[in-house]
Amino acid sequence: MGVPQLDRTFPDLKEAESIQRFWEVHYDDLLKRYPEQFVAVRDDKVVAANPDLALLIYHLRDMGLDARADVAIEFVTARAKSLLL
Amino acid sequence: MISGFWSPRFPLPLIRVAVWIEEFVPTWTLITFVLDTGATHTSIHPLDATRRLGIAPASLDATTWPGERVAPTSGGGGGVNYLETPASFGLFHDEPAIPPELLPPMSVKIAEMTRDNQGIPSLLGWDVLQYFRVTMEGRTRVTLDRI
Repeated sequence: MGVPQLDRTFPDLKEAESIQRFWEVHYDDLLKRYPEQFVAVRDDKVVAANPDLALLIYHLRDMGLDARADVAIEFVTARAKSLLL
Repeated sequence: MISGFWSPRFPLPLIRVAVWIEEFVPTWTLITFVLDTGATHTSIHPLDATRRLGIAPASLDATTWPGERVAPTSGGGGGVNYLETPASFGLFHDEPAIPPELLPPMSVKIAEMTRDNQGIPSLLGWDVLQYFRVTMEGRTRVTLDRI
């Protein structure tokens, strides 16, 4: 299989920027409600949260949601400001 | 010019990169990487492996991977196993009229899932950065220009 065509509409850069903006706007509130948890959002609403990523993914699957296609997931943590990678 | 960005909730430079990993996804996928001049290789960690590539957590168990493709790697967060798989990378210029910058085919390392690395961001390392002039100006600007 050859490399698929790549352009600015797919994958959707604007959608990625929109999701990024959502997290920036709501992060502090989500941090209060779901500290140190993985949070899944669909249509700007939290649909699931779990401190364990694998459990969240499987919970979404049980809800009939695909982690890649149906929700945006972020790790909501107070520790992101101090990282040693 | 290809611009990265800074997030107010994150202390490191970020950049969106299109990645095509035929083994897992038939199409290009956007992943937000930390631009990491301290990493030799580009690596995708469990959060992006699951949410962006759709890899099931059970498939991020290194004991299920073919031994010849497992690459133990050390780092500041401790050593974990990575699965090496062929990948293509594309980066978008700020100017929409300029076609995306496609890099020669290479590989990417996908981390096994451990309790401690689930929330770690994916890292854009020197295997990709070697193709660019990287400019960083404090926390205000980060750009890549193809060399």
